[in-house]
Amino acid sequence: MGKPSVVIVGSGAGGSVAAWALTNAGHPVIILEKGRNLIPGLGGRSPLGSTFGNDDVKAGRAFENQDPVLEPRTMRTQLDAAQGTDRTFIGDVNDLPTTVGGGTIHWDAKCPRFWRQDFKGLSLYGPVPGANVADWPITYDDLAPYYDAVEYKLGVQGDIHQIPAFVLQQAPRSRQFIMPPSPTMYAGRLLAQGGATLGKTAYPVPMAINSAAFEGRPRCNSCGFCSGYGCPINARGGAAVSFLHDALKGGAQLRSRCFVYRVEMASKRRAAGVSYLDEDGKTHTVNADIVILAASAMETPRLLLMSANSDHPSGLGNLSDQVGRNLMFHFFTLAGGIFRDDVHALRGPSSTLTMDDFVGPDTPQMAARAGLPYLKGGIQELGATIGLFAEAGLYSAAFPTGGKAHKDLMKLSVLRAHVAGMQMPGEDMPQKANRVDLDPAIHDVYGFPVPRITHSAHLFEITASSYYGPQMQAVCAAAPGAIGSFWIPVANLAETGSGNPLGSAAASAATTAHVMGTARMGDDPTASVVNACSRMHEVDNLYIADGSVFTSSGGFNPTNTIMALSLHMTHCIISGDQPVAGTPPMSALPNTGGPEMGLAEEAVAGAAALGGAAVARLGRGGNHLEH
Amino acid sequence: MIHAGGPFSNRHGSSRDDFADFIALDKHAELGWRIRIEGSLGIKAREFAGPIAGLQQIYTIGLKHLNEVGSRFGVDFASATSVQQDLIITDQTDSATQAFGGTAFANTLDAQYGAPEYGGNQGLVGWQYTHYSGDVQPNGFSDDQVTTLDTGGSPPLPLAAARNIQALLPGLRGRATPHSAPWLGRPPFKRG
Repeated sequence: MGKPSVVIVGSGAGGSVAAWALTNAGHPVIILEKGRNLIPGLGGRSPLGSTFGNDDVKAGRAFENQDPVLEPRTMRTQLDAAQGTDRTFIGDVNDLPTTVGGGTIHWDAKCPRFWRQDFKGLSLYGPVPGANVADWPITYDDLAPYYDAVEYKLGVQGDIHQIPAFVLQQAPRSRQFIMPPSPTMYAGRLLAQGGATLGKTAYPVPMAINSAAFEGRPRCNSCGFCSGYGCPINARGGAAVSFLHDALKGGAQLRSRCFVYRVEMASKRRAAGVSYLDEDGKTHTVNADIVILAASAMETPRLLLMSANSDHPSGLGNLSDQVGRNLMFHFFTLAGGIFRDDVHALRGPSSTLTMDDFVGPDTPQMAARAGLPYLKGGIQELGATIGLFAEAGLYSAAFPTGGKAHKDLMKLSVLRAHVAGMQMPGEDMPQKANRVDLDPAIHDVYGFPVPRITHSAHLFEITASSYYGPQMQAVCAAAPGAIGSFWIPVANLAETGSGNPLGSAAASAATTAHVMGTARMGDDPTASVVNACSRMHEVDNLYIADGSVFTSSGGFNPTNTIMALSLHMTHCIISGDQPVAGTPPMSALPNTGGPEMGLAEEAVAGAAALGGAAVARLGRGGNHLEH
Repeated sequence: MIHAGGPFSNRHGSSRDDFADFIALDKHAELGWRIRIEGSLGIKAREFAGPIAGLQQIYTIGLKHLNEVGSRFGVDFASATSVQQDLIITDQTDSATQAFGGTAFANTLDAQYGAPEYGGNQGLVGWQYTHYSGDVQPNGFSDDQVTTLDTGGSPPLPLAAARNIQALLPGLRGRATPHSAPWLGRPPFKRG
């Protein structure tokens, strides 16, 4: 008898990692993806191609993005909900790419790790009034080996020797990165110098961008069309090119343009498979021994809610009433320095330096005045700017119909060519009232209720933005050559809707594509949706492998953690569905200490060897996970 | 002619212009673009989330409206002087003009600043006066061009420009794309 069969819904970060690990471990795997495949050669033997270009028009025309005309979402605030307003906006609400490879098809590939404190927020720092703070059921140390494995396979660049000690204390690393940092972008270096005068430490941001050729994909040539654009040369690691490609070569089956609308149940505690519509609208059902949902923190809870039945009347696995709740975004704060010269912050990946001095927690007076026990911010992306179309859009806020004044601003290019920006994805508190549910009236092109997002910021992130923002501006102002500086509480502005013609709810979540928390992980089935293995408490063979399972949001880009959690989940599956306790040894990886700077051959070989057999070996070493 | 091909044009190191080979829409994508261009037209299969005015209606109605407003000056909009046209277009009290103007502006950006394969930006004029490098693949930028100051780009900034730019900064938050008017969204600073 063969290994249990697996069906995976979604081919993004979590789904592709799971497909890769489980295929290599010998499981028959089918991946269902509602988008189409835009990477020629994916899963084949010839080199990968690309349909992407340095093309702003295409990027703005729902090429890889979910089309809000066909698949809109709706939105409202907590106040709207309390007043009985069904929605105040229909359209793009934090849409991620809807294509094979999911969000990583145009991510900016930043791969920070969550910190130890992010997994233990409640026990370390206590509750936050009005927020649903909880500890994760796993620790950083549980997850660290999976971060290692994911980062080696993705091809994450960095330099452990440049990471400040306070960061390594929170997120210890056992080995050097598989490749060195890319050349430091000029604009980022200016801000790093500004930070240094204030005692802040910038260092090369770990990211899945090739600083050297890796696994048949070339070195990044710094074209500048990175975050928000598909890579024309596949120099960026990601779900499709780093994991799914190998999974397909190993025998996994990908079905694109397949919209899954229901998880089918065999009994109260066992899923039988999923039903989907193909491109022609025909209905199919795939039966499998194991079902993995990896459709995003918006679409996964939607699917669970659409799969309600007599055994699960309020949605699949929702006896805790937590499915769809605790929706978290990252609360963005921007700052920038203005320079007389063109600092060409578009050249390179979106930024090459980060700064972790504003992660927190901090306990300034303004926290106490707001009734908050502490504040937290997040990492800083140093030296970014906007592209030509974004700049044109920005000036249209002042000149909505264009004209000569608009053109004159474009000629000056102040906010594109002369800005070195600094961006913080601030930690967002989980709140029960921030949620995804099914819109009662609006349907998508498939005829199913669209996800409705109810969201209002907590005082925590609003206060934190106001606390860290001026400090970010100080870094920018101290940069050599800065003739001006600013900080903008972008998320606050969006939240309050000041000056926004579309109203508050329309834009309140528009500043981030990081979505988390809607099927949270925990030990207590009455207060969480999945266990430490990402398996649903109420359905024994149903797992979740996306941002839904996050118990807290941290101040860090989430994709690396989504992937590490997915690999951790596959370890549970492979080792007999047991919860993981302690740290499994990583016998498949190169020795701790790892390669020194550069692409050491053994490191490449180690990463390449991290197939399913290697994942199956993760539990080796005599612990209870070996079955 | 919706999505140009990839990965390279022939402007920076490729002998072939892949952009010129537009990518075919599949059935799903085609429906989205038919709704955008033709409108939902009362067709049930297009109005699952409510009616949408297509570009064809938006332009027909919008241009008619401009002509009606232009009649105040005793001329068609097209025959009005540029000063008159500006007065008409920038009238913030006229919501119909503003709604049409927002869509027309978004479409104009594609022609003004997009790759010339889309039919606009002839002679790369939109990239020249903005000192924008455009699509640079497959050459990309050299390590030197990334790491050091390069004076060949946008000229030094007048100080007054830096001072006056503050008014525009709140716009950095971006704007969500509504279902009923998909042209009106715009990207924020960068959303990672």
